[in-house]
Amino acid sequence: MAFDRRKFLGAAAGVGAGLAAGLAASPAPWRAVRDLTRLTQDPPWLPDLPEGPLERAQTVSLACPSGIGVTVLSAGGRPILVRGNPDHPLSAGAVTPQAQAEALNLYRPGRVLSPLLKNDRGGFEPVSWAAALDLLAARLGEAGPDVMAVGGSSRGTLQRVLASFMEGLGAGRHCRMPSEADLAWAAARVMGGEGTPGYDLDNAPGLVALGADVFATMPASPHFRKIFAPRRDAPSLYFGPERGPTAALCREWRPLPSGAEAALAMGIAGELAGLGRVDGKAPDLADFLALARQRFSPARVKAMTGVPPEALREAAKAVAAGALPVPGASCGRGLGVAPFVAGLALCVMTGRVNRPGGVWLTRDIFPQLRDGGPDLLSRLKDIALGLAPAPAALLLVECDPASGLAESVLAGRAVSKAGFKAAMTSTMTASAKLCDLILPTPMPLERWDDVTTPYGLAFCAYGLARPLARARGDVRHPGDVLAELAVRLGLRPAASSFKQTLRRTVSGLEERGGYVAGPVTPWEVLAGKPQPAPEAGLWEALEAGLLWADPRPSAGNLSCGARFLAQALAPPAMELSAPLTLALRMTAGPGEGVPPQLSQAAVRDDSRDGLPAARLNAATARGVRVKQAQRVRLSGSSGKVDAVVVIDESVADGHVLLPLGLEDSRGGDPLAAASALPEPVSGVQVFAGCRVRVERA
Amino acid sequence: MSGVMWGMVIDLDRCTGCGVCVGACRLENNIPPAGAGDRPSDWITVERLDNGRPYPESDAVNLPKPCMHCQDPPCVKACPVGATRKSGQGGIVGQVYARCIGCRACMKACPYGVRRFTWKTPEWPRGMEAIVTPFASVRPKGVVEKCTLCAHRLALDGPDRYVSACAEACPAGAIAFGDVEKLRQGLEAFVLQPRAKTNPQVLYVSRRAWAKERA
Repeated sequence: MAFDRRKFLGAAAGVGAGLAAGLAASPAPWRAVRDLTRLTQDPPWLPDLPEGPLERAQTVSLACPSGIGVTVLSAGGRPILVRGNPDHPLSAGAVTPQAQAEALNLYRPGRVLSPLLKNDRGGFEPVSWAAALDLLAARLGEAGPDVMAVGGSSRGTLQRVLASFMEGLGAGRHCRMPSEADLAWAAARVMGGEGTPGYDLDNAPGLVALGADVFATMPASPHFRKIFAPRRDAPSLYFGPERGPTAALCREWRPLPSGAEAALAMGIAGELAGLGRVDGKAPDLADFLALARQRFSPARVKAMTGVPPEALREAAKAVAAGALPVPGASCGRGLGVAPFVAGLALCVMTGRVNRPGGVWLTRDIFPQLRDGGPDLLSRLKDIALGLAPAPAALLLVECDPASGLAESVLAGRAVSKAGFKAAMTSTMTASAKLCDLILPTPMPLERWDDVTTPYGLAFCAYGLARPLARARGDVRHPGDVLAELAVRLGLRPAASSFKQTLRRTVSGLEERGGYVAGPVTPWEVLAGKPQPAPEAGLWEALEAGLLWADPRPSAGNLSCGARFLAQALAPPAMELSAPLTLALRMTAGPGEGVPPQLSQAAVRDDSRDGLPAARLNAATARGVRVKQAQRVRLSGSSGKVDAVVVIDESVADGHVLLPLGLEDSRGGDPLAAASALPEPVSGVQVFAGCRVRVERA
Repeated sequence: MSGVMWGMVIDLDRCTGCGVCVGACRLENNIPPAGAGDRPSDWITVERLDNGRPYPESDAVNLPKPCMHCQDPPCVKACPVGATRKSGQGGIVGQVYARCIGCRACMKACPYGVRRFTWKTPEWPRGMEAIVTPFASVRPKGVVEKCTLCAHRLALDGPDRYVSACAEACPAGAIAFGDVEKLRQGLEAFVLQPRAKTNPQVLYVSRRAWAKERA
C-alpha cells in the first residue's frame, strides 16, 4: 500500500489533532500559561500583601507633640498603618506626618537595636545591657554631682523621672530642649501669673497671629487647623516673614521681619488704646500704654518693622472686635520672652485672660519641670567657649542638641567636651554619634508613655500611648533604664518600672479633677457648659486612647509686664556686614521623625540635589547678586550652611528662608548659620531676626 | 446610592501644603518611595500655584492634584486593551494592572498628568516592606497606575462611610469627599483645564479669582 501525499496529510492532521487534544487535556500548558501570567503581573520579588484579619486599636501619637488620637491597623500583630482617630477630640480623623510615620519608623533602617560602645577607632560596637549599665553607673558615680542631663522638650512623666533621678544624684544641671511653651510660661510668670498660656481659638471669632506659626509648628496646630479652616469668613491676619502654612489659612498675610514680633505687638497696643478699647484692670496698664506710645508710635513701628500704620490699625480693629492675638515665632523657635509678654499684654489690656475666646492659663501637670534656670543653649555655649567647665558626665535622654539648637556647631562642641557622654535614643542622631555609649530605646507603638498639654491648647490635657507591637531589637525604655541606674547607684527609684510611674501619674490626675473628653468637649466647658463628672477607671479610659482634660485655669490676674518690657525691648544689634535676615521653616522631614520614604513628597521642594533650598524673592536676590539655582554659602557668627537659591515671591524682602528638619543634608545644618544672643533681663538665647552673610559657593 | 458620582471638592484656601494627603495615599495604596533621581509615583501631588506677580503683590495657593475621575475620560478611550475603565458605580476611573501592557497611551491622553508609569520594580528600603497594606496590590514594573479614589474603602466600609484616605487625613479639611453633585451645591466650583472638556469629578473652590484662571 502506497503512502501517498493525501494519506500523509491525513495522518499528520490526525497526529496534530491528537497532540492538540492531549495538550489541552494535560495541565502542563495551562500551568505554564498561568505561571507566565503570574510572573509578568505578580512577580515573586514583589512584597507579599499581609493576610488574615486586620486589627484596629486606638491610642495617642507619641511621635507628634500634638497629642492627637490615632487608630493603628495591624496585621498579624504588626502595625502597618496609622490613621487619625475620628472620635478623638484633638484629631477628629486628621493625622500629622509625624503620627503617620509611626508604623513606618518601626522598620526604619538605621535604628539602634542594641547598646553600642565607642571603641578606640571611633566606631561603635555592640555591648550587653549589663555591661552598658555597669559602665554608665560607674561613670555617673565617679562624676558625683558633676553630671548634666538633657531631656526632650515634652513635659511628661519621663521628664519628671529624669528630674527626680538628677535630684537623687545631687546634680543641679538638668535641662530640657527649648520650646515655645517654656517661653510662654516664663512670660506669664513675668506678668505675675502661674501656668502656661493657651489660646482659646475654638471660642474666638478671629485670629491675629503675631508671628506665631499657629497652623503648622505650634503643637496644638492640628486641632487649630481643624476648627479654624472651615471659618472662611472669620477675620484672620498673619504677620510673619513668609506666606507659609499659617498664612494659607488666614485671610490676609502681612509681611513682618523675623525678630520684630514684640515691636508689632507694642504698636498694636498703642493703636488699641487710640481706639479706646482698653478694658483691662492690670495695675501697670498705664505704664504699659505709656511705653507703647513713647517708644512704639506707628511711625517708629514702621521704621523698625516696615509694617505700615494702616496694617497696625487693621490688626488693632480686629483685636478690638474679638480676634485673638497669638504671639510666637514663624518656625516655633528663636524668640525670647519679651514678644510673648507683649503679645499676652494685648489680651490683658482687652480683659480677655481666662475668658472664653481669650488666653487661658493652663495648669501644668508637672509644674516643677518649668523651673530650669538658664536655658540649654546658654549653658552649652558657655561650655563650648570655655566660659564654664564641661560636665564630667553628660546624659542625653531622647534629644539631639547637636542638631536641634541654634549655633549647632557650638552645641556639638559642648557635647564633645563632656568627660563621658551617653545617649538614650532610638536612631543614630548627630548627638549620639558624639557619645561614648548609646542605649537604644523603643519607638512609639512599642512603649508606654504619656503626652501632656500640647502647647497652644487652652486647657490642660493628658493622653496615654501604649505598646501595640513587640519592640524590635534589644531596647529598653529610658524610664526603666533610669530606675535601674538609680538602684545601681544606691538611690531610691520612684517606681520599679516606668509603667508603674505612669499609673501614679494617672492616679494623681484622678485626685486632681478634670474629666474624660467625650460628647462635651473641653472648649465647650471653657465657653460655659457644665463640666461632666470625672470618670471612674481613668487608666482604662486613657488606655483606650481617650483624652483627659482639665479646663479649669490657674487663678490669678496678669499684669502687662510693663517694667520687664521697658528693659527687655532694647533695639537689636545691627550686623552691617550681613545683608540678609535668616528665617526658618519647619519641614516634615527626617529631622522631625518623618523618614525620607514618607517625607519626600512634602519636602521635595525644600531641597535640591541634597542641599537645602534658600528661598528669597527676586528683588532680594538681585540685591545680594545671586540667581536661581545658584549654590550659595550662608554664614552666621559661628557656623555656615551651603544651599541652593530658589526664587520665591512668598518670602518677605530682605529675608532668606531655610528649611529645618531635613537631616543629613549635604549642605550642613541650617541652624548652624543662626546666631544667638542673650535677651536683656531674661538671658534667653534669641536668634529670631539674626543676620547672615551670603557668598557664592 | 444609585446615581452617586463619587468625587471631591478641594478648597484651595484651606490647603496648607503639609503633604499629609500625599503620605496617607502613599501608605494606604502601597506606593513605593522614590529613590534619588527616580520619578515619583504618587497618586496625589501638592503643587504650588502662584499669581505670577512679584513680591509684595504675589499670592499663592497649594494645589492638591489627584486623578480627576473625568465623566468623559480620554484615558479610557485611549487604552487599546481596556485596562482603564470607568465604573458604572459612582464613576470611578479604575485601572486593571493585569491587563495593562504599559503602552502609556492613557498618560499621553490625560490632560492633567496624574497617571504614573512604573519605570522600575517597586522597592522599599530593607525591612520597610513590612508595612504594605492589603488594600492595593504592589504594581510591577511596566504598568500605569493612578488614583482609585480608594475604591477598596467603598467595598470595605460601605457607601455611607466611604471616604478616601487623603480626605480623611487632611488636618484642615481642605478635601471634601462624597457625591460630587451634592458637594458642589451652593459653591462656585471650578475644574482644572476646562478646555479639555472632560467633566472632572474632582472640583476646586477658592476665593482667589486668579487661582480659577490659572488652574
